[in-house]
Amino acid sequence: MSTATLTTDLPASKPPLASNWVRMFLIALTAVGIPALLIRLYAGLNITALGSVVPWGVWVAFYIYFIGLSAGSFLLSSLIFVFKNEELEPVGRLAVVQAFACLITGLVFIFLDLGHWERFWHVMAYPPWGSVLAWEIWFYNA
Amino acid sequence: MGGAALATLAAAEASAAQATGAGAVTTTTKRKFRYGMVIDTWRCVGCKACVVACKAENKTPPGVSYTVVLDGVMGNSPNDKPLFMTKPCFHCENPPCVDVCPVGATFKRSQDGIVVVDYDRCIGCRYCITGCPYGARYFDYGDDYRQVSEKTAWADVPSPEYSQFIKRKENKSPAGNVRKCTFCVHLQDAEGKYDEHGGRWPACAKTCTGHAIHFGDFNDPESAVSLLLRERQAIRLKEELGTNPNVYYLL
Repeated sequence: MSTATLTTDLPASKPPLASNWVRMFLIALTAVGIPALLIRLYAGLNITALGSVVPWGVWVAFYIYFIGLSAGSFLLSSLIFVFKNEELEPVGRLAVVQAFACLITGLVFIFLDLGHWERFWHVMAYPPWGSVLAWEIWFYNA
Repeated sequence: MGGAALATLAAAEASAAQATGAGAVTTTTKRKFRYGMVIDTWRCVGCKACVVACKAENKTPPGVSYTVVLDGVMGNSPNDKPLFMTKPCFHCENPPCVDVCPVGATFKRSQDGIVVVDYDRCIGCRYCITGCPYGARYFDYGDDYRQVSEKTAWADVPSPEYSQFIKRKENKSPAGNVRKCTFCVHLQDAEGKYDEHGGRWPACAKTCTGHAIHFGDFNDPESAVSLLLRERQAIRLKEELGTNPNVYYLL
């Protein structure tokens, strides 16, 4: 009998989020990912095989994806908590949590993409009013 | 009376035409200098000596080349004339790369209009690379030529860029920064002037074997570049974007 069926045989009061196989897979991914993250922060961006012709890679795409998710979730939560839409009440708290989680994930992705990640605070410290990207970061952090 | 008014109107129109058309080079801007280049594609032979000279001058790492030589064929001309042209940063009057920088690390110098990067401010987000319509900016990914990475004597040669004389170290600026052509701004004297015969001249223009790269001050009507623009047909790349580049090509 596999562990997957074991978990499903548990009482249904609190259904498991994921089977053990999925958990092991995620742990393995994390075990690979954290050293890779440290290598990237230590070794710089030349390990990404980006160039000056293609300066932005999949990190920026992920950032856009998660920021979009975050904005959508936040809009949904505003429907519930600001405009008092009662039909959507059950997903209200989940929407807020997801908006916050996606925002953090997106900002982590763009943080990873910086050539000098230790200087990320420059965006706050040296404000150029004309830059759209600076406004984006200010609004995400506000 | 009416005739005089007509004459002043005509004069105003003439000056307006001068300010908007190709004659814009003769109008002086508020800046002390307006440095730019006129690149003669008739004289360029595509030898890429400018690329090498720029590398030798600025000690740029692999993947960073402040000027590149494009080659192609000019269509719709008799016998399909080959076309070579070197492409440095155009130091636009209205540079899109400067507007997009989220930390204000890149700016146009107020005295001579040269677009520079502050290596200590730049966070390396590479937005300006995507913003530049001419592909004149390069990101320094921290790669090194073998002579530098193996710590031979070459590794101790500093880059004279911006007169900062930075020696190359791992993960220290300018690695992780966006880099670009500076018109060899470190060769200016205290007044901001270059000296062609004294050797204080942008490396690419100094070395050009075919004398295709002409460098000079557009604010000076007697400079070589101003004379060339008055005498020859000049174009600028992607004129429709309104960036108003300071590098002209003679066709």
